[in-house]
Amino acid sequence: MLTGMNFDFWKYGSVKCKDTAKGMGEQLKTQRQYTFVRRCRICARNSGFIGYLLLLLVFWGCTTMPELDIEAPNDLIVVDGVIEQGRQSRVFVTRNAPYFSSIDSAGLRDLVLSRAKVTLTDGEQSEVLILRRDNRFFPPFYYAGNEIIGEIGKEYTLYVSYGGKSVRAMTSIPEPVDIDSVWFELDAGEDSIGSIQIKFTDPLEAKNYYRIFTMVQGEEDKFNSAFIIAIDDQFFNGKDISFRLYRAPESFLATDESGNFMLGDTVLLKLSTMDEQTFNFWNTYQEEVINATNPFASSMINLESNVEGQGLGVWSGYGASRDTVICQ
Amino acid sequence: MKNLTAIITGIFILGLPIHISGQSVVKVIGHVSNCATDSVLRGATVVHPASGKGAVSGPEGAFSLTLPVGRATLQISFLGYSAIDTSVVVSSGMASLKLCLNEDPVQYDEVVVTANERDFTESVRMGDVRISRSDLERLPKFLGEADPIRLLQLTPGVQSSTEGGVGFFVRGGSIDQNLVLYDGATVYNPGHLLGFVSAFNPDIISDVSLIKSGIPAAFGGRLSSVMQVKTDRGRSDSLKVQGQLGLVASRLTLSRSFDRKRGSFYASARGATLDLFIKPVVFPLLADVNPFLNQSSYFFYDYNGGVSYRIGERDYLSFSAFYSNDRYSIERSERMAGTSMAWGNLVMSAQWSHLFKDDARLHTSYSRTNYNFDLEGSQSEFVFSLLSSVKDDQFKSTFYKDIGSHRINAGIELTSHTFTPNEIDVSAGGLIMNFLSYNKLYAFEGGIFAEDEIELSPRLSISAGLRYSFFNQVGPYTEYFYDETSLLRDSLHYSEGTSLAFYHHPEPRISMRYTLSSSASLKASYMHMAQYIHLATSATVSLPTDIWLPSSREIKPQYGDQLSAGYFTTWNDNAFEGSVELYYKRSENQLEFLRGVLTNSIRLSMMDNLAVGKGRAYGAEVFLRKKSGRLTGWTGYTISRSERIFDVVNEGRIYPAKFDRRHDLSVAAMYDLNDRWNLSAVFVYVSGSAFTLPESRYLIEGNLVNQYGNVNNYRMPPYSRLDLSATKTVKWRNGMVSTLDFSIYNVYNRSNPFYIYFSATGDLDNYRLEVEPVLVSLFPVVPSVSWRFEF
Repeated sequence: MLTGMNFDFWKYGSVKCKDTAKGMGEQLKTQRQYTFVRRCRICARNSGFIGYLLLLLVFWGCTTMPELDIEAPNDLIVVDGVIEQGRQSRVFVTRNAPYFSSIDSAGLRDLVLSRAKVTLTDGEQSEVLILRRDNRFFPPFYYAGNEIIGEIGKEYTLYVSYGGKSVRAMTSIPEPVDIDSVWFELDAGEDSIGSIQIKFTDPLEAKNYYRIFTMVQGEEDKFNSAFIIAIDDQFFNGKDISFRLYRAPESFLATDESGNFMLGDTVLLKLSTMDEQTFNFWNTYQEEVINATNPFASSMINLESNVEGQGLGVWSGYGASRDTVICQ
Repeated sequence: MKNLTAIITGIFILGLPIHISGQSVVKVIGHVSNCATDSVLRGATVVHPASGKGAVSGPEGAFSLTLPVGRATLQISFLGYSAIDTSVVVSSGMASLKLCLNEDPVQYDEVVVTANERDFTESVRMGDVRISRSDLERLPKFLGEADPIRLLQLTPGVQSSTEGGVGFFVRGGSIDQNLVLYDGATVYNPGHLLGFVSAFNPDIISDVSLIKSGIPAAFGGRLSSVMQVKTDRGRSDSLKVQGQLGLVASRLTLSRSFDRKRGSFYASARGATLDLFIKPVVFPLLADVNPFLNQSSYFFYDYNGGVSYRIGERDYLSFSAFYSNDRYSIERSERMAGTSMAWGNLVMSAQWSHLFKDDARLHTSYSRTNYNFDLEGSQSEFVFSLLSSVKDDQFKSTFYKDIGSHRINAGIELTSHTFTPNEIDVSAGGLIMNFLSYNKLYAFEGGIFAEDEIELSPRLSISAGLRYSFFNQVGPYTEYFYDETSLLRDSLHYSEGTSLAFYHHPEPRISMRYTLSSSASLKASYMHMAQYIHLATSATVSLPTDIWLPSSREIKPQYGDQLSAGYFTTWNDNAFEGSVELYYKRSENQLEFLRGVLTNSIRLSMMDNLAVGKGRAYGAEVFLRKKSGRLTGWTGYTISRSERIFDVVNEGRIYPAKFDRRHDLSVAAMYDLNDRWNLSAVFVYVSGSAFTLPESRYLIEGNLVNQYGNVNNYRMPPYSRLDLSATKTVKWRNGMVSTLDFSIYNVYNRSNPFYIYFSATGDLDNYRLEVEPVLVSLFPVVPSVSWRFEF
C-alpha cells in the first residue's frame, strides 16, 4: 500500500533565477521587439581588482543584445472553461497577447473577449452562455451557463466564435472518486503551520486522472489548484494513496506565498477527476508553469489543447468530490 | 640530448621489396621505434626530401615509401624525439628498414612543428585533425587546465556545444554521432565540470586525433566523427614525476620503464580544487550576477593507469584504465529544495599486438566501458532519483598486411551493450518506492570490415573499404501491454538471448588523393555510416541528463552519408599549410525528445515522447596554419548549415538544428618570446545558436502560459571570446622542468549566452504583469595560474 506519498518533488524543478534579472539589466519593450541593455557591471564592482582592471580598460565595453524582430502572432481564441457535476459551466474567453507587449490593467482587460458567442450543448439541449463579472477571478469576466447542469457520464461540446474565428471543444464528466479522509499535520518543529494530507482509493478498473483544489475559508473566495496541478494513476492504480498538500498560491505569478496552512484554518478540498484530453492539457500546463525557466527540464513546446480550430486552452469536465478539514 | 645519434640498421625481417614500376623505384618498408625502449612510435614522419615523398608510421610504427633505387637521405621526426637524417641504399632486395629515434623532452616543442607535414598533402585521408601535446601545453587554459577537446573545438568544422554543454558537434552532426575512443575503448561522456573540462588528463595523453570525413572502415557505429585519445607510456629509466597545481584541479603522474625497458607504466590522479580556490575568491564578486554559480557546488576527480610490456620481438601487450567522476549540485535552502547530478566513466582496455614474420600485423583488443548518470531532486523529505547507464564490453581484432601497392587491413568488432535508460526511485520520508521496474536493454553490435589503400599511380591513391555492421537487441526483456486506459493487462517475457530486433547494413567508404604537385593535392571522400545507439536529448540545452538508447523495434538505426572534397597545399618550405574542404551530409532516423527528460521518465512508453526525423548539413571549411618560426598557430573558418526535418515539428518544414551555427571563426596563436617565455592567444567567434522563442502568451487560471513559435526560429546573440596566456618555462640543471602558466579566459568578459528564458512576474490585484527576457551566461573573465613540473 502506498501511503504518505507526495508528488511535490516535481516542484524542485521550479528553481528560478529571478534575481538574475535584477543583476543582468533592464529592458525596453515595444510591441514587436525588445532591446536588452546590459549594465557595465564589472567596471564598477571590480575597480579594486588591479589585474582585472588593467585588462578591462583595454577590452571591456558594454554590449547590447541585438534586437529580436518577433513576428506578430496570430490572434487566437483562448478558452479556459469548466463544467462540474451539479453545477453550471463557467468559460473564460480571452485572446493571446504578443509576447513582449507590456500588459497593464488596460491591456489585461483588453484580453477579455467580451463579445464572443459561447454555445454549450450536451447532445440534448444547448444554451448560449452569458458574460458575467466576478471579481474573485482573474480576469474578472466569464461566460456563465444557466440551464445545463453538469451530469456524470455526459459529454459537453462548447462552441466559441468571435471576430470571424471559431473554436470547438469537447469534454466529459467522469465518475468522481471519493475522498477517504483529510487531516492536518504540523510541520516538524512548528507549532502553528503545517500541511494537509488527503487520502483516497484509486479505482482499479479505470484509468484515472486527478486534480486537487483547496480553499481556505474566510481568506480565499475560490478554489485554487494545488502545487500538483495534475496527476494520473500510473503509479498508484487501484491503491490507497495520500498526498501532502501545501497551500497553493492564487497564481504562480505571485512570488511570495508562504505555502503553509495555519492551525485554525478551515480548508475546503476538492478532488476532481477528468478525462484523458483534459489531463493532457493540465499535465503539459504543469510542466510549462513549473519548468519554463529551468534549462535542465524545459522543452519549449506548446500545451496539448483540447480546443480545436483557431484557438488554444482547455475545456475541462470535472467529476468532483469535496471535503472539509479544520486544521487542529 | 641533441647529440644522440640515430641507429639505423637494415635487419632482414622477411619483408621482400616490391617492385612498383620497372626497376627504377622500390617500395621500402620499415618501422620506427624508440631507440631506448624499443617501443613502436606511431605517427612518426619519414620524409625523402629529394622526391618530396613522405609517410607517417602506422599503429605498429610501420611505414612504407616508394623510393628511387640508389642512395637516399631520409628525415625522420616525431613529437618529443630528436629528428634525424639518415642515409640508406635503396635496392630491389633490400631489407625492411628499422629506424629508431631518441627522446628529447627538452626539444619537443620545436620538433612538433615538423610532424605530419607531408601527411597533410600526401595522405589519402582528409578531414583529419591532430593535436600535439605542445599545442595543448602552450595555448591558453581555462582555470589552468589544458584540454584536448577544447583544442579540437578550435579547428574548422568542430563546434563546442553551448558553453557548459558537454561534447562537441562535428560538421553539423549531433553530439552522439562522435565516437570517442580512449586507447580504443568507447567513452560515452568525456566531460568534467558540465563539459567544461574534458575527462582526459593532459599529462598522460600522447596523441589526440579527430577524423571528420572518409572515416576508415575499421571504425563504425557513429555518423559524424572518430576522436581517438592515445595515452603515453613511461619511457624513462628512473621514476618520472609530472604534475600540476592549478586552481580548478591538480594532478600528479608517475611513470617509468622496467625490466630493461621491456615494460613501462604510468599512474595518474587528478582532483578538482574548485571549491578550495575558486569559490571563496571569485564567487562573492559575482554573487548577484550569477546565482547559478553561487548556489552550486562541484567536485570531480579522475584516475588513469596503464602498463605495457613487450614479450619477445613480436608481441606487445598493454593495458590502460580510466575512471572519472563528477558531482554537481544546486541547493535552494530557502525553498528546502535541491538538485544534484553525478556522472562518471569507468573505461578499461587491454591490447595485444603481434608482428608476423612476413611483416603482417594483428592487433587485438578487449575493452569495457561503463557510464553512469544519476540525477537527484529533493524538496523537504521527498527525494526523487533517476539513474541512467550504459555498459559495453567490446572485442576488436584487426589484421594489417601490405601486398604490392596494396595496404590492406581487415578485421572484426563485436560489442555487447547493456543500457539502463532510466530507473526511477522516489522516497518520501522513510518510505522508499520503486516506481516501475524498468527494463534493462541488452544488445549486440558488431561489424566485419576490410579496407585497401592502393597507389594506382604516383599521383593517384585510392582507399576503398567496406564495413558490414549489425545490431541485435536481445532478451531478457519484458514487454508490457496496456489497454486503452493505460492499465497493464499483460506482459510477455523474452528469455535471455531471444532476438527482439535485428538490423544489418553495408557501409561503403572510399577516399582518394590526386597529387597536383609536390606541395598540393586534391582529395575527395564518401562514406556511408550506420549508428545503432542514440542519445536522446531534451530540447533546451545539452547536459549529461541526455539518455542513451539502443535501436529497437520502434527506434530504427540512424543512417548517414557524407560527401566531401578539398584542396590541400603547403608553401614556404612547409612552413605554412592551407586547405579548403567542402562537405555535404544527410542523415536519417534522427531522434529528439519532444519534452524534457523528466517528463520522459514518468511516461510509460518512451516512444510517446520521441520524435523521428531527418537531418542534413553542408558547409565549407578553410584552414590556415603556420608551423615554424617564433609565431606559430592556425586559423580556421567554417560556414555551414545544419537542418532538420521532423514531421511533428514546425509542420514538417525544414528548421535549423540547435547546433546550426552559420559562422565559426577560431584563431590560435603561439609566440616564443624567448627561451623562457611563451605567449599565446585564442579567439573564437561563433554565430548564435538557434532557440525557440515564445511568440505570445495567454491566461489560464490566472497564470500566464507561453505559446511558442516555430522550433528554433530565433538566434541567441553570437558567442565570442578571447583567451590569453603566458607561460614561463625554467629548465633546471638537475633535469627538473618547471612551467608557470598564467591564463585569462574570456578576457573582455563577454556575457556569452548559455540560455535565455522569460521570467513573468506580476501582481494580479494591481493588474500588472511583466515579462523579462533573462540571459543566463556561465563564465565571466576568469584568470588563472597553474604550475606544472616534471622531473
